[in-house]
Amino acid sequence: MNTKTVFFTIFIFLAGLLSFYPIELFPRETGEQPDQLADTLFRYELMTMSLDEVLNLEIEAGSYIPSSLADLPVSITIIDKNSIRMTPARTLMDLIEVYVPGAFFVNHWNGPRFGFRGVMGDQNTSYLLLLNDQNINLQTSSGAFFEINNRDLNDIESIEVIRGPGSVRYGHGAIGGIINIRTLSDSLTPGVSAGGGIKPLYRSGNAFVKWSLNKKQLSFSGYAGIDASRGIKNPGFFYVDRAHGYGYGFMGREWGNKGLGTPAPNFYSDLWGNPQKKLQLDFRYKKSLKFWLRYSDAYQEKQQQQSFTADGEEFPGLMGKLFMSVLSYEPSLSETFKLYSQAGYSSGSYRDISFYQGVNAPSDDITQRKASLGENTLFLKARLNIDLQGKYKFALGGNVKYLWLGPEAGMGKKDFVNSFPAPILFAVYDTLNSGFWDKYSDRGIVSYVDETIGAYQYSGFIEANLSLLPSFSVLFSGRMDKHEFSEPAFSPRIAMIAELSDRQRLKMIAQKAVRLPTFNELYTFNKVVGEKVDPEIKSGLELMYNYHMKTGGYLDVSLFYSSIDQIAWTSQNYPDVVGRFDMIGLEGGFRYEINKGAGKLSFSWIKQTRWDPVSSPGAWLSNIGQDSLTVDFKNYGENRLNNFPGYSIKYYHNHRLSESMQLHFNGRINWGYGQADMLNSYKEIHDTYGRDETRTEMENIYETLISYGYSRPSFTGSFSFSFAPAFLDQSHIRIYAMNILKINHIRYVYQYWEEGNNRQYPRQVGFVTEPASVSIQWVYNF
Amino acid sequence: MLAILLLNSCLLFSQNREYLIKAAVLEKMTRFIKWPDSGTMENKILVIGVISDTDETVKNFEQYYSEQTVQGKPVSVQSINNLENIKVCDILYISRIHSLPLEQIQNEVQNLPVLLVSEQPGYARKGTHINLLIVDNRLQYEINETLLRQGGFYVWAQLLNSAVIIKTGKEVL
Repeated sequence: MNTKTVFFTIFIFLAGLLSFYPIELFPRETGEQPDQLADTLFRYELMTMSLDEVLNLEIEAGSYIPSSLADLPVSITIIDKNSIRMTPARTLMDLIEVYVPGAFFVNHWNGPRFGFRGVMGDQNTSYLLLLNDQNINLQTSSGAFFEINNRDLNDIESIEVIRGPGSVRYGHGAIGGIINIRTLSDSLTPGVSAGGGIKPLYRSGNAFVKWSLNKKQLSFSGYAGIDASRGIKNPGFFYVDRAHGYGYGFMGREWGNKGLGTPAPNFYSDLWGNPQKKLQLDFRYKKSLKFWLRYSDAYQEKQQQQSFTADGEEFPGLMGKLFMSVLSYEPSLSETFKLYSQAGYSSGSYRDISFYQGVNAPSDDITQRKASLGENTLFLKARLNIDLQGKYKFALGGNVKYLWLGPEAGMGKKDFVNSFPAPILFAVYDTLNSGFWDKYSDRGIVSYVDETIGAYQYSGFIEANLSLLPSFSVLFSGRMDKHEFSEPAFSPRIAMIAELSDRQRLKMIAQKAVRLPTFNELYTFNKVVGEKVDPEIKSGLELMYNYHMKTGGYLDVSLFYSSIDQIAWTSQNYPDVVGRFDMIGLEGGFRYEINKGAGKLSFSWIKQTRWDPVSSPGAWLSNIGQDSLTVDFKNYGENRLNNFPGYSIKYYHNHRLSESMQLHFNGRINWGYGQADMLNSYKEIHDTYGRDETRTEMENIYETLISYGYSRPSFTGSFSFSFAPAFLDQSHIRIYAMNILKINHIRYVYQYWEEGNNRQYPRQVGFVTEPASVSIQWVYNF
Repeated sequence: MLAILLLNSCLLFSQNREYLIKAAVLEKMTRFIKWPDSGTMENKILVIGVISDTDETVKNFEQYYSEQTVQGKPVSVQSINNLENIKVCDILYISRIHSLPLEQIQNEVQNLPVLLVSEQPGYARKGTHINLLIVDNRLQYEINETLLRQGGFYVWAQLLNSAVIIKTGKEVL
């Protein structure tokens, strides 16, 4: 009997037990009816929430049917406005790492790569990033990309983070988790506030303004922000690069063993001095009709070596521009029926500047780009919610979306290029005027596409929430996602919720979640092979318990098990299952509230229980000056939790010092990193197969990495202090001290995932020593 | 069968929750408000008076405050039918369904340390201290900062952070 079967058996047993004996096990003395019971629990929930949490209470996360936090069939963390404003954070990523149990990110050269519960891909395609419930993942390649590098967080009202799968609610791609950013929306009465800040170490500054108008039934609000950053020059960027012969060490002119070293990339820097910008406008008519539009952009330097171009030495970079417009109509048809409908258009421009031409072209020439495209989307969504006296609730609906690829915003067809897998490789729309085609077509790496590259996606879903017994309800949910280039992907879920007492809930959730390969992979496989792709499937079981204490504390514990049939693009030039990956994990948290403050302590543990690769794991040993040596390499190839800490403890506390002063502290400890196994395995291999020269180098790399904290237990702590100065009426000043206490706090650069489960090490791997920094932010309400 | 069920359905659930949420918001807001020294906050019980033509607000407020204190004091929720009783209140909640003219209420509480809370668009401008409104299915609040200051209330900065601030004092009705 394998692990999955054991867990499933336990789950079914417990479910059956609760289904048959809920009343006997948990007798009630109050004689309350289901609605009253729900209100009682809801009341306790309200008592333990912060003001911001209560204000954001219309909770629908993880389910189509709104319910209270305690009844949601997901593990969720909500980061409220006060926490966002009080927490030292450079981007959304820092906030999530501070507040979400077990959440973690590493720095890929293309930007941050995020992981929840052991799921972390080499691209951000294993979780969904939503903005006001709209999926903003880049479909062609990187997954979550837009907004994650934005440094201005003043327009964010709250962030909802679902830990674990959720494609039954949010569609394909929600394997690892879901991040939903809620921005400031329409306000009630006229008002203007403005502010700005500086981060001296990062050589950055920002400014923003918010305003709102209200005329009877019509309201309007807006936000505009700008943030410029030159980044930290010469950060502690340690890099191993055996593939290009650079060597290893902290990057700089002296770095590199073949005279090839370059300065380190600037940390959190704009590309070519282009600041990040945001603009959002919200219009509302009455309660039911709303229209909003938003623009945001970010130009960023990649975390890579410098290159030489015709313009001189440059760091490669990425550019993202996102425009969204959404019209919502949500009328209450009656006490029983509520309709949710949306129509929208979005366009995301993506440019990957990789300097293929080197000194032969200016840095922004199209021949220097790996991709230059716009992802355009039109969508319609509709959902009907039916509520039968609060006891039986239903939701059903569907979405249709058309996505097509065009040139970047403001550019023509000649400027379009997109990097597909072989055999398409680089695709262009124009052969007569395309500089990219002119330069590379004779090498056989460019394909001309004479159709608009696009595809329809459909989804249908249904959910039923049945309060079968006074203390027991069942939630059935199902969703089908159909991409034009894929087979249908089904996401079923059953959640059983038992009220152990007024203050306690036990929930059990069984579900399957799906993820499709990237649009580029789907398109290539469909056009070349003529077949549709099967989705990656994650099966998950979760047992959750929460307890609202009389003292105001809130305890939540979650035990989960998941199994993924991992799909990747293989050497056969099609996406296929590369192995089965099983995990088990435990998360727990205790939130408390005292007289003048509140905080939370959380814990997470994750362990790989099985990895069955389809092909044999191996390694290509870097063998200086000679051919690579392929060796059998079981130990490391089997560790899929490579960059994850096995254990994590996080803590935060917000405290009111006086009527106008507030203090915040957060800290986290991580240990049990998978890299320890990786390092030891490679060292062992070099000891066994290497030559004296490689053994010596491996020994040096090993000791250097360890000495800087690689794979070792780490700690970091940050503070902030907020006050309203008496001499500046209506203003707030916040001072942030980030990573001010730290031990071994380094940010990993992504370890390349090699095709066919092979890995070369030490090839390209590294870290940045996270710096301690102080910054200040000021806000004035007019 | 389904049609009959639908026709017979009657949903009071959501309204209950609206007033529970409002009760919670009110309680959490009071953590950031300091009453003037002459206030009745010296008393051992905090009194929330509710002016409403329906029982809904009082019922839910009573339910919420049955196990919840405000500034460490037990709470008594009272339905206000006679304006004379206003004087014992620390907080006066004016429901959106009420038949008493706002001006009359204001005259009664003038110079008294009573926090006026309403839930009607425009009421903060017309002279209540705090106005709770539902926007986009979520609760927002307006604060008439000028009136609060004039009344001797002190408001913590955190409360103003999330509020729509009104600084015009009381508009002529």
